[in-house]
Amino acid sequence: MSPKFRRALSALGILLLLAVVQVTIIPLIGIRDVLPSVLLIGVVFVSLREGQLTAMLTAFPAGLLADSYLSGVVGISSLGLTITAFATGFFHDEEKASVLIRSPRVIAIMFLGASVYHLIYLFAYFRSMDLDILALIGMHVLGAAAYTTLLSTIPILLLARRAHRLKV
Amino acid sequence: MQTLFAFIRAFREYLTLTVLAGISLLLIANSDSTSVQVLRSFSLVSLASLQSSSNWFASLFSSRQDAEALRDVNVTLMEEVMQLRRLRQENLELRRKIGFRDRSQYPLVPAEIVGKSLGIGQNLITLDVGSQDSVTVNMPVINEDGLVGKIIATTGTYSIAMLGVHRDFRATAKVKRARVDGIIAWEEGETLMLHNVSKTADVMPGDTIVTSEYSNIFPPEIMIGVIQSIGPGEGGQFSRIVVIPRVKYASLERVFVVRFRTDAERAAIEDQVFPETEDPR
Repeated sequence: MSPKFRRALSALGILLLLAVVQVTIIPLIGIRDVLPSVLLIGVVFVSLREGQLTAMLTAFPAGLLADSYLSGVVGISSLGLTITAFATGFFHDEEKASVLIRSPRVIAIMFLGASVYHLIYLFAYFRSMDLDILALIGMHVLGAAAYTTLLSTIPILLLARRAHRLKV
Repeated sequence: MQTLFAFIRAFREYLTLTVLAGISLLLIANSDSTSVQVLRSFSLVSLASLQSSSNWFASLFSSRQDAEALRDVNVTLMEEVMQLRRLRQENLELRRKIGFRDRSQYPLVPAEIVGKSLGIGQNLITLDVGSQDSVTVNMPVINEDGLVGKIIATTGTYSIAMLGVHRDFRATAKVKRARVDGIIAWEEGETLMLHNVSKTADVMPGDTIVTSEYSNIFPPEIMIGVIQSIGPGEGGQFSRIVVIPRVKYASLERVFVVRFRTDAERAAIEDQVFPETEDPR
């Protein structure tokens, strides 16, 4: 088993675990029905570290698991996460991956990925409903994206601190 | 063939994205199909126990807060209910009084009872109306139930009324059905006695007693009470007629003073001819 395949398998395991956390624990920390997505954070990290292909192949089943438990329509999260993995994977750099995931740029990439994901999720979910899309985008896209980004700063700061200690 | 593999290798990310997005869209389109439902039920069964554990954990913090919040709401609502009940009672009472005032043929002065001097046969009440409200001595006091008493003293803003259950209270009265006259006076407790009614008079328990038109103080046909019992009087000539007053003296709160003025000329001649037999003033 190649190291890359092994890393892909561990990424899949982590994302499936995050999917379980997403459906069981995360609803407890929602603010006015706005939920952050730890699964998305995991996908962005995987895409930055392992690249688009691995990220998409691991994000899809994790999204499917979350969908099958949570949403009314199966396939929405898997679609959103796959596209997000693809989009954020453009920032992947094989040689600088470990540096990138510890830099503040990750926050901007996270916000971009979260916006893409929630936008796809929202449009896919409410495509047939007569709703105020702008209000929904404000709350469920930008709000959820901001919350997810905020939550993502915790592992980023932890990683940055760890890197700082290693340098010292 | 090599070109195809090279193409796939070069665009593998795009191809993967297309395939996975296509599968996702296919799943979205067939979200209600049997196979998707099987997948969903498998996930639900697998994750339900985890979900219930997390819910239990969350309930440890939320249920106590919920209970406290509900307790606060409960106390507030109880206070509101009590307030509403009191207001409802007051509203009903005032409505009844307003209706009575509209029906009354005499000008009435509404009065609040601000003081009570209650004793055996010494029942007096202080009203918050006086001579400034055109209230004078001997004006009748009534409420929606009937005769309450009469004014015996006034100041500018207050007056004192003698209740029907005062030992000195007298009023000419009659049995409404048989038109038999008598004099009503306090007997004991909260009962009255109808005096000077012949044993042969057509009266029976249950008959209504009202004020007589012969009174120089009280207007006629004001309700006094109902005959409770009839028995032989002390002298053998008159009956002993016990009357239960309609007015509940113990729970009086608001009354009306009737601007029914004594005819001075009539009073003067009656005092001159039979000073002992009319209502004491």
